[in-house]
Amino acid sequence: GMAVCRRLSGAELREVLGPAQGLLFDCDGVLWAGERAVPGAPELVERLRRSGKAALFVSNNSRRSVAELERRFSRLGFRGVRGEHVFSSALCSALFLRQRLLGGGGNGGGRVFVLGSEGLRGEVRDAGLRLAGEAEPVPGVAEPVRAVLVGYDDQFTFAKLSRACGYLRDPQCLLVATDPDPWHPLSDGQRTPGTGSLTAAVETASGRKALVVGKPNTYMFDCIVERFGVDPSRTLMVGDRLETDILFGKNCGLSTILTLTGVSRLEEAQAYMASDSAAAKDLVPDYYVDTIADLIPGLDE
Amino acid sequence: AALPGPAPADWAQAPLDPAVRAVLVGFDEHFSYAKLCQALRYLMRGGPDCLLVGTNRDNRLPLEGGTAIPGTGCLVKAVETAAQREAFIIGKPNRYMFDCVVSEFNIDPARTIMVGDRLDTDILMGNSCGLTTLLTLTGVSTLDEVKGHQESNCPTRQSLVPDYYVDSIADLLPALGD
Repeated sequence: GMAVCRRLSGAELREVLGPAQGLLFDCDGVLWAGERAVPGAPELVERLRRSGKAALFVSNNSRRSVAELERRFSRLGFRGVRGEHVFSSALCSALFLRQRLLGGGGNGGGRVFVLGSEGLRGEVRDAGLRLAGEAEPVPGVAEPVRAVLVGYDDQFTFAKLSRACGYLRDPQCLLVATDPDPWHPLSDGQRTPGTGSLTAAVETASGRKALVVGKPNTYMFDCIVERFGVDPSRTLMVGDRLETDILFGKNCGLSTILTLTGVSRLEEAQAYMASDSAAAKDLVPDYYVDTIADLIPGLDE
Repeated sequence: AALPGPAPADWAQAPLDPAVRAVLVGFDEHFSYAKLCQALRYLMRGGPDCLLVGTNRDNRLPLEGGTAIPGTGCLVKAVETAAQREAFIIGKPNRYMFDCVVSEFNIDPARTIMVGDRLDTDILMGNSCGLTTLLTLTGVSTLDEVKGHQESNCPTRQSLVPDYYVDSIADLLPALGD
């Protein structure tokens, strides 16, 4: 049915959370902002576990490895969040590349040119792939570069852009992006450019369209289903960004909850609701809360 | 100003020049994330009062031997995407440069010929400005591309078709008197 962006509270909150088997959470702007947990967020995650409901995390942020994220959860006061619960675009991009480059046998292998952080490069290595520019297994025998992976790269340069385009002249070389986010908020209200802006540069130079792993595309949900077998009709998606989290929820068949501690404003959701365009309707959340701590009363004591 | 520290969180604290009223994106082989960051900060601070201008949208600069390096268009797109706004583009195929020429010289478009090698910049600008257009084949675009546009049903592609072509601009010499 059509989403109507209703504040989730009271009896309806209990009706929505009661039957849910699990919740998927975006991280930045939902659980924490910078180095501060959203007040009540760690308690909500703890209460979900005590209620026997799954709490899984799905983040477009490709900077950190899963191990780094696990430490971050712990440092910010979230108890019991294990790496296996955390689906970052770094991890899922590595899984995607492993599938495409190593799966199915035959002429697999080849290297990946990664534009991104050490955390992203580590996930790609952990998936069994080799990176362009790193030591050759057999001296003098170069493996072709079979994929360019664009992630959040604060060391992005014209030279790297040029190198990526060189690899992409081979039509067999994949162009993959960890996420489409154009910018990210900083804690003082400023913005920092996102992977989406770097991907736009690579796409423009190469004439190619990137395969985007992160939300709102559904690949990360496929990874979640593969590992945990979640039922979309009993799972809720909680996020702060309409164009990624809420659209992701819609694309995966999940009911969606917008939390207002992050990027998107309630007025933006209402504007999408008032819009005539069919695409805009998919950006309207089913429900909203001021903060995810507002979900706590929906759980049994 | 030099950027403090190694990371975006540091760069976002560097002082901004209060006099900056425009971000101009041109060909920059030293383009970096840090510069992109600063560009975004100026655009956010100034809002519509800070201009965003791009010199051109060329996506690739061909080199000898068939390779190419990324063009200014890539850098413009990066800034536009981060800032979620469109740049004002000076270069062809936009007409600003033609307007500059017209304001300096008394040009009658009906008696002026635009000569270029690139359909999507030179010829498109010429056609849009009411000039006669002449494609020379010593550069980027080929006759096959022209035929493809001619045979398409798309009006946008039709505007990439030149009025005339020559193999090289030297072929114009015989038409000129001694």
